[in-house]
Amino acid sequence: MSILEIKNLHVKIEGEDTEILRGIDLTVNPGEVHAIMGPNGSGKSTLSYVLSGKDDYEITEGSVTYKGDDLLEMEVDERASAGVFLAFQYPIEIPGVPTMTFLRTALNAQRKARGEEELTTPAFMKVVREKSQMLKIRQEMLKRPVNVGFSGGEKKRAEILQMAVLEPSLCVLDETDSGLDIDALKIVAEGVNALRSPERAMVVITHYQRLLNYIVPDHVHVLSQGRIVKSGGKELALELEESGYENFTEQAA
Amino acid sequence: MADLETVERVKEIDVDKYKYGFKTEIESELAPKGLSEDIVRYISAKKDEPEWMLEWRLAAYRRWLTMEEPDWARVDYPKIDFQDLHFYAAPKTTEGPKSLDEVDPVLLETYAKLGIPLKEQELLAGVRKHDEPSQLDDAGVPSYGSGKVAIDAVFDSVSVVTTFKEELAKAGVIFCSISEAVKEHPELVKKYLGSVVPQSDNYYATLNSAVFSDGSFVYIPKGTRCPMELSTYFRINEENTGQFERTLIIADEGSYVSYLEGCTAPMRDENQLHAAVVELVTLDDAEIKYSTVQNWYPGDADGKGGIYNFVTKRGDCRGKNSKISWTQVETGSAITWKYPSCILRGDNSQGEFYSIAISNGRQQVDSGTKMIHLGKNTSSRIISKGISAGKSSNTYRGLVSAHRKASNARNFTQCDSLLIGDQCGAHTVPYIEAKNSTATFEHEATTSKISDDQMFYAQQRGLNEEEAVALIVNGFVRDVLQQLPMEFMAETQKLIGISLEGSVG
Amino acid sequence: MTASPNRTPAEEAFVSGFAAAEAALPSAEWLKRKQALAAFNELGLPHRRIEAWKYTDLRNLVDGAYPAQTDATLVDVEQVQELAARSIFAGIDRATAVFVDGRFRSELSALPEESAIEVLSLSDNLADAPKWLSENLGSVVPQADDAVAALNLAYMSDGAAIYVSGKCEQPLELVFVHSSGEPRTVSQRVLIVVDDEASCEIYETHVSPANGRYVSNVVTEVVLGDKATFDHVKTQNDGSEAVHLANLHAKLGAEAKFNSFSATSGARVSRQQAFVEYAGEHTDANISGVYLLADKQHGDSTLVIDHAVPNCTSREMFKLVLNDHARGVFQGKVTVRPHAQKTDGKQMAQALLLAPDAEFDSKPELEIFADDVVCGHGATAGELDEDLLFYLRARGIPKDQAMALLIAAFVGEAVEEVSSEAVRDALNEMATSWLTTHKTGALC
Repeated sequence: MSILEIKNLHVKIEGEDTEILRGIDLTVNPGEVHAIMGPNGSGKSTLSYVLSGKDDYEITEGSVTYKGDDLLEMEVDERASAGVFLAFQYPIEIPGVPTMTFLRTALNAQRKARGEEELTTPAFMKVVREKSQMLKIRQEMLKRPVNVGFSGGEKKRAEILQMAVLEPSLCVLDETDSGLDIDALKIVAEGVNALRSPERAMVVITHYQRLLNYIVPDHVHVLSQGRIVKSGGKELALELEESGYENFTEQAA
Repeated sequence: MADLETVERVKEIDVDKYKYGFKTEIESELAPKGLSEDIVRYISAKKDEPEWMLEWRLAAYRRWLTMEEPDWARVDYPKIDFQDLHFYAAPKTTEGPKSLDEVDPVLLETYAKLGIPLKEQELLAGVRKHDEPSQLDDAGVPSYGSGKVAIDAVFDSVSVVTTFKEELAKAGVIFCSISEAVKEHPELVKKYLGSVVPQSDNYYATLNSAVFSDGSFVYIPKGTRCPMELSTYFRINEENTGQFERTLIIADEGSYVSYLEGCTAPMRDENQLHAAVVELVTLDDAEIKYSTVQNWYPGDADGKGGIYNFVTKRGDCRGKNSKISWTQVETGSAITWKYPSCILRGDNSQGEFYSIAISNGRQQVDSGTKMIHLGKNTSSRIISKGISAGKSSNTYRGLVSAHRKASNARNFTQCDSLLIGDQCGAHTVPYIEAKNSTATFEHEATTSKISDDQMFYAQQRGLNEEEAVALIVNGFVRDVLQQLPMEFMAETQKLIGISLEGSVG
Repeated sequence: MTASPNRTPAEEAFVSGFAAAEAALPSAEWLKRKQALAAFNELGLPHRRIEAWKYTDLRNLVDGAYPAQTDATLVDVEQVQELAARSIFAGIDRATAVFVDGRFRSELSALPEESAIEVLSLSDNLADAPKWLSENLGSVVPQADDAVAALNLAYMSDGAAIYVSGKCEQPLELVFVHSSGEPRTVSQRVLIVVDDEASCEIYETHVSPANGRYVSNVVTEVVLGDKATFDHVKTQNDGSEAVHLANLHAKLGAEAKFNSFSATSGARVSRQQAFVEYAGEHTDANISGVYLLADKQHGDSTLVIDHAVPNCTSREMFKLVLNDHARGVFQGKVTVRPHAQKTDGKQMAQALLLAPDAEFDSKPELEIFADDVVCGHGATAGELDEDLLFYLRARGIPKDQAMALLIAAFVGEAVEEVSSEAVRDALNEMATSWLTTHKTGALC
């Protein structure tokens, strides 16, 4: 069974007329990494928000099935507990909530929702310590409020740490490469690659091919004006790098 | 660039700081001193008003007799003797509205000296290049490098001329003195006068309602974008007179107008009273942008003389999606008591208040705004920059309130005060009232002095102390300056430099 | 005294009841009760036309006669002990001084045993007061223009006089217990004198059964010597029918450190005033607090920070969580007098409105007469941030838990200002338990 199946998805912003997604079809199987590339305004971020269940969007047509269930019927936190993880393009700052508290609350809430035992504090600490070392995240950073005062690179690494701790089945990475220098990019990509497994699928949304040098996709899709206009293997990304998006934007129009 | 101009300007200034302090020798007709029902009748008769207008004035007068002067503002002045004032003064040569070539040349000269071009051709586009200095540039009042400005010139109690009336009439825009509007457009005046600032609103507004002399009336018809800037220039000339301007601007559905007012007065040892009322109304989708440069005589360094400026200005965003924006540059007057406000009644309406208030010498400023959120999805923005120098007192007083039904009201307020010297005071008194949980209010205020580091940096680059202050102050007020009509910005920067003359060292 | 025809029943009772009450109250020659009552008679209860009371109209809110409590009521010891045990400080090693219905109860108290601190009951020591008491009591509080403070002096029945001569090891908790019963006013007074270089930590707990109808009027005077340190944490959990009027006046010596935090969740109406006056340079004052209000509670925090001398700092941080029809008021005035150069004053008041009918009124005020200063204030009001909520939910945290977490974090930012970790934990726990019990409206 596929992990994610999107069929003819049409989406607009609530209260507005223009469709942002105009008929998306996408099937993602366990173990696969799909890259979705496209120019600004093509609907990439909208897709990630719709998958994670943000308000403000109206689905006018189509369906999204996650592990056989209707994803669109699920609440935001239900989706997260079921294993859908969104790495935000712009991670939100939460003053007053230490990162550690946040992670523990999230992990235990998910475990509880799945009918699993909550993790004891020592067990939780052990998990976080291991994963944060891999991502070169200092313990001191975890005591600070979520994303408050973090640099751009630190925020993205913190997102991947959350992903590593929460162990989702479907990872949606929204422009994770934006705002990263090359060293930070490598660390983040390593973290992501370490999470690749036969049970887990990833949807990597990006504007640039650069990230895909480090996270090599199985499939590449070009999104333009709310539609997937071309799909192919990893070589499609390189092709895009050379010719740009122009050819595709014309196709979509 | 602009900052450098300011610096140049400051350099040129001689000891005589107030440039508009001359008196025009012209024979005036004065009402007898004092205030009574007879004086109200006298004013109404002088203006040849219909009976309903007189009755309106008398009702206000009777109400005023029952009221007490407010004392909550942080201003201190001796009690005003209302029986020792002339409530009406008009140049003898001016009776009724006239065309430009009929206006007394003495008056035209006065306005020219103030930098107010009352000649329509002077302002026609292309007469001079945008960057070229006009002969009028020297005066520190508006001169528009391009485009036209229609001007209503009010001298003491009467409007002496309104320019570009015909051209405006072609667009359906009514721009005339309020006296003329009472006679020519009674249906509009009856409908809107006192509908934003009721007769009984406050002590000074009620006084104004009884004795208002002149001011401007503007009506922009549906769907019309006013083809040029409108402007009123107020001049108090006569001794021991009060000026009671009354302005009413109505922007009908989908219309837009930008309006500018300026004010000056001669230097006199006695204090003079200016109690104005300005009412703005925007209907659905309309917008009014109202800018003021207030440069009444501030009195001398010891606090002798100067204008008492007690002004009630209020805009009513009556229609949905309408917008009222106040921008004020307050540099003059001995006392300023003024709170241009917005009633955000229409859904999705917007209010803005941008203010620069500079006090020096013994000036006292108590000014700010009220943003009353009544409709749904209304938003307001307040940016206030106060600068106190000398022995002056400068207070920001403001209210932001969201009523029960004003869902999703939004306000952002930034109030900054700058102190120059340790003899002055800067005060911030905001009232924030959220009666609706969906309201989002953000208020921030700071008070500081010009940093020594900034001063050192500027001086190390060759500016003297006063130049450095002017430069830094202009940076401080930048957010507000940018709200002024383009050509007006540079002039205002100069005015800021002049107002702060002698504040350092 | 002439009766004013416009007096409210409450005012009438305060004025007419004095003669009888005075005889029953402890007295001392230097204690000017009569003058204080005359001042109150002149002023009446504060009302909305008095600018400082614009949002808290006591003429309206004190709804009926609350005669002064003069005699000690019979006390149900078990009930008192049960109430006192609700104190959030119960788990912390501390000394206690317990006051029940306006009288000190030595048998219920555990006064400090260390020599650095002396605690006296006012009623027992007024007549033969030590010099530090008679000289300082009333020295910081202006009676003439504060009707509530004047009323307190006229009627005060008891309270604590505390003299700190050295560095205290153990915190002291003042527990004010009110029993249920007839409507009444209980006026108490606390005087804390801290010597040069001395330090102490004072907790204050106000607690009552839910149905107590009383006005609790507490005036606290704090006099800090040079280099003295004072930490103060107050929890006000008066009964839901009570009116709580508190006046804190502090006079700070040079290089002193003053830190006062209050958590307010009780009383139908509460007004907490704090006045800080700097008497010496290089002194820091920090006043912070949390308001957790629901139902029709009205909570007012009014601060006046008077920078009279140069080189001092002041910090205020207040967080209000308002549910149901609750109304929160914050007024904060920072004055910098001429020559008080290098003053550094910052203030923040933030309200979270959890229900459509909650209301927040704020008037932060700056009054500045010196130029070399850095002063600022901020105020915000709004609902919980939707983006934050989405982020938490996207990590699998259910909505109500996510909201509770965000509210706790909001409150926690003010709690951070408390120096003791154990107290911070206790305060956060108290906030969380409030959130759990008030999961109405938006939280469901």
